[in-house]
Amino acid sequence: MEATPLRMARRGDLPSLHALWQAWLAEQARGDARRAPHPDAGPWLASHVAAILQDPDHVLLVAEEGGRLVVAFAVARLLPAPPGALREAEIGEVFVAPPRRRRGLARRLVQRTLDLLHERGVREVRASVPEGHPGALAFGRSLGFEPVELLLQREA
Amino acid sequence: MDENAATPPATPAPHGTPCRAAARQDFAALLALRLHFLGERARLEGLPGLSAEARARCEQRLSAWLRQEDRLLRVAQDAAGRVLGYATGQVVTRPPLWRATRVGDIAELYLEPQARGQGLGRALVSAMHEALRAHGAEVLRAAVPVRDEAALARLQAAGYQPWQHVLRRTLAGA
Repeated sequence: MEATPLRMARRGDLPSLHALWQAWLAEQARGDARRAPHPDAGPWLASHVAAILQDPDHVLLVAEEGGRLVVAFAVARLLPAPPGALREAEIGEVFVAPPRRRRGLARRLVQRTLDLLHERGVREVRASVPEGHPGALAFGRSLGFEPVELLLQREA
Repeated sequence: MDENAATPPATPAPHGTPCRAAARQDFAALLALRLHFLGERARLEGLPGLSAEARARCEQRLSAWLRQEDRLLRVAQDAAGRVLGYATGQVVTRPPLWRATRVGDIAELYLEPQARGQGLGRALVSAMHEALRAHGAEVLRAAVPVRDEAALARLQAAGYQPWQHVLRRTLAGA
């Protein structure tokens, strides 16, 4: 089977990306009541994705089947740095539509993202993994990431 | 319970009210404490020590914080009024992704090693909670380096639960 091609996202991907991002959000909420979505999350995500698509400091990759169906994405953001300083970036959401999982798509997306960040002078990358997803933590480790910090939360 | 009623103001118990908002006159003490904090955190994260510019950047950051209305800065002091620790944070309005958008963030908390184990850390955490709530926080967050088991235990005892792991990797130089 041919590997699903990866490419940079473009403006026409907005509807597909919005749908995938909402699926990501729903999946987050299922495992953790603290991650219940905000009532305005849907419209906010639409404007957020539209802004990312136009922002030169974001790297947004998609996997596209048959030249028309976007089934996965990964997003990263280059952090502001003074001229001459080493650049840092953070990897944000990485999501693969459930029927397309276990084929190495997420790994290829992250590896390609890291290559693109490296080409743009990035030398340090951070990524966040929500608590309660040991598989995601192991996935990060297998890509050379090490946990450095734990973020904790409680009700106010 | 009104604790003040049980403690006459003329004879304050040691650490009776150990925490207060930081003021201009705390600048030198805060600078020393924050440099210690940054050094300790770099060590816990396995990073190289502080750069030569770290002190200058730290001074700029602190004077900005002391002027900033929405920056919460609390100090812990001993009975003699010596400043032995500090905590800082802010309430930030997050985009409407999760239900709680007003997030009270404890960004830094540091106590001189000799001042640890006397309840000052707990007092600083409580003082920060109070301030963050007063500024409208719906949830409270704090980050700890994975190797800082003491800070993790302290926050878990204060009701915090893991929310998110932060991972890092370097990319080979060109």
